[in-house]
Amino acid sequence: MTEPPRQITLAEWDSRFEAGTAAGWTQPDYGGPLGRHIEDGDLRLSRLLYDNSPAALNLWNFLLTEEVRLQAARAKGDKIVGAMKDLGTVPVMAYSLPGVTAFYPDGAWWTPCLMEFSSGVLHGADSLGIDESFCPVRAMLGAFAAEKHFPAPDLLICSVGATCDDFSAIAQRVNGLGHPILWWEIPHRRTPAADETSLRLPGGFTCPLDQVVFVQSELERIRSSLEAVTGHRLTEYALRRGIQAANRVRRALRRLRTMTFTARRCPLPALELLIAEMLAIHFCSDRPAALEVLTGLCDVVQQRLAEGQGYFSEDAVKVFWVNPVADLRVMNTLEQCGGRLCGTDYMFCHALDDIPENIPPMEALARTALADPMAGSAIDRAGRICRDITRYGSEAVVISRIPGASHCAIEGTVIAGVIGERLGLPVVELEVPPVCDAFMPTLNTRLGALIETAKGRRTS
Amino acid sequence: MRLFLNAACGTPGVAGIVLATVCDQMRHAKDILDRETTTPSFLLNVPSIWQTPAALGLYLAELRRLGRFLETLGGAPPSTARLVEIMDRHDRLRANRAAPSPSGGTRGIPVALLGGPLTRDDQAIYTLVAEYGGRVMLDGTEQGDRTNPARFDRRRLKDDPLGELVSAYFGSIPDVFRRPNSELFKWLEREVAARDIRGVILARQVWCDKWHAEVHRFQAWLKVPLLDVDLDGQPCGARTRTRIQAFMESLR
Repeated sequence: MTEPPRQITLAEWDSRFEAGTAAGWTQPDYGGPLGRHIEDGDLRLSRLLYDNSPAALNLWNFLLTEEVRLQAARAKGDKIVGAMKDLGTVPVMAYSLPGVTAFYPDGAWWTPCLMEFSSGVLHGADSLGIDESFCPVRAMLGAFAAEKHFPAPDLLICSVGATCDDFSAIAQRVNGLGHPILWWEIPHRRTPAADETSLRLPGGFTCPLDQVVFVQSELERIRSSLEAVTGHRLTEYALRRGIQAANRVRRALRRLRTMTFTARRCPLPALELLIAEMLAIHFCSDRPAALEVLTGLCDVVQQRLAEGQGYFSEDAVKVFWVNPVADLRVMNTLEQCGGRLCGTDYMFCHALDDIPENIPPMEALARTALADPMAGSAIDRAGRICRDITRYGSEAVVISRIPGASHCAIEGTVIAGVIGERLGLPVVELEVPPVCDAFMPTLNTRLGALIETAKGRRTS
Repeated sequence: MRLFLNAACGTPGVAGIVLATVCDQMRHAKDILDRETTTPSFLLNVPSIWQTPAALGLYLAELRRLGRFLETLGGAPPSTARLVEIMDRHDRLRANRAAPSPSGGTRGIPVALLGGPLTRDDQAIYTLVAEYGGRVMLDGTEQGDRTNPARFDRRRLKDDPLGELVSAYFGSIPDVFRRPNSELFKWLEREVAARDIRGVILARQVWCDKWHAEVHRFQAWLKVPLLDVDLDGQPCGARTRTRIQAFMESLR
């Protein structure tokens, strides 16, 4: 019997770490007590509740040491590739080459939350005229201006077209700061006409063949740039190997999600699951380590399931969550209100689906890029959400609005409407700012009402 | 976007609605139309990138698709000769159009008006500029000089009219949504200098991120002052009026 799962505070984790180390816990090279990150400025950690497994500790330490890995890669002479917005495709190409480390500068959007506004990145964005009317991803601009949250990339690659205006506008401002950007286009994914060849994409969407051909040609430009920067050819063989490696990570994550969402009792809290999903996008700058972290979490969850252990009561309401939250603390709040996570669409489902391995790799990547839920209509996206809700048996839906984000003005209404019509589930929309402490009463009330409604429907 | 949807859906006799992807909110507005109306609508994919043949090809393919959509509404595809004739007529009309008569007559401080689409209510800005002693010598809004396509090449017009149409529109109109949007800055710098512009008024819809994000850069780029006016779908109020008044006063 393993130790029962329990959510613990940062202070408890540090005591537990001390005891564990004395008892012989081994740590990966990025390991250590969680509390040390507070000294780096990650103040938000002291307000969160954590899963008590060593695998969860590895997850957090892995996430919070990415900057160190990037600096080490630069010191080692690796080429640093900054991928922006496509969330999942370009890193697969980049990591197929030797001596390349890829990351998403977009990830800076959590910096204001983690550092509770002490990082200065939002102030930096403000001073450049990008105020709070923009999405919190404006933190990325402040981070580029500050030149201290990640090393300057050797190559910056940004997808545009069917992307939110905030991101496109802010990336243009990054360009204006003197960072050259390779822009590539993802067109709005559309339904094929009757006389067009229709292709099925990972995750179930479809699009016309012409769009795949176009995106493939865009990815060829990226391939050329990667080759020019690294001095290595990105061969079909290397891409196939890269896709296979990415799929191993994706499968591990899918296994983790499926086990967690379908378990009778919740085996892993929402917060850790959110962080785990993020690893699929760019492997947190170390692909083999990302797989190890996810495998470790899978092992813990499997063991908990085998031993009948879990969190919360069995009647916790199964909640499907749409869009990532700018403040991680809200994922704890969901559970404190009587919910548990059973299904997610954090805007990058295409990074969780297998990349096809039975077609030419560049076509496979083009299909994956076009499978981005944000590249098509919100109605299509809602369709996929409905399928996942049915698969996981979710009882209620939270649509988390991102302050200022252009897509959030409309998509919530559309997604809620489709879910209501097709499944009749209760849906609430929340707006979550980077630090939501002041909004907690409202968030609690709204989440509480949703949980209550969902429970009420069980008996009606 | 809301005003557009309301107008498009509320105007009797509208057979179809065409939106473009240059604005993300417009892109998502297609979902509203698909769910809330029976009027057919079409979303034109206008690439943000513009420096590759593939982008040009995508735009051309989209125009052909738009043509097919219009046919479903009862339109008939024009013959090549007819298309050439129509393009030629419009090209001549644009060329022969007298230089835009500056609002405010021939006197007044020359200013440029820059930005995206203006609603009918927003047109009051032209009057306000004139009222406070200015004249709009450069109209860089969506319905102004900036969005005029390049002149058609006579030889290519006859050989490949659709290709020439693509080249003239997609290849020459500077806009804020383009990636990179450097051509807009070059155009502005050139035109401001050529017309002795003394100040620029950027009129933008309040939730338009693409124009909003560039305010700071325009201010740094331009050698003349810039006034940032945000519009919210309501008639220009006292705040906008006072800001324009103060701006014009400061340019004297």
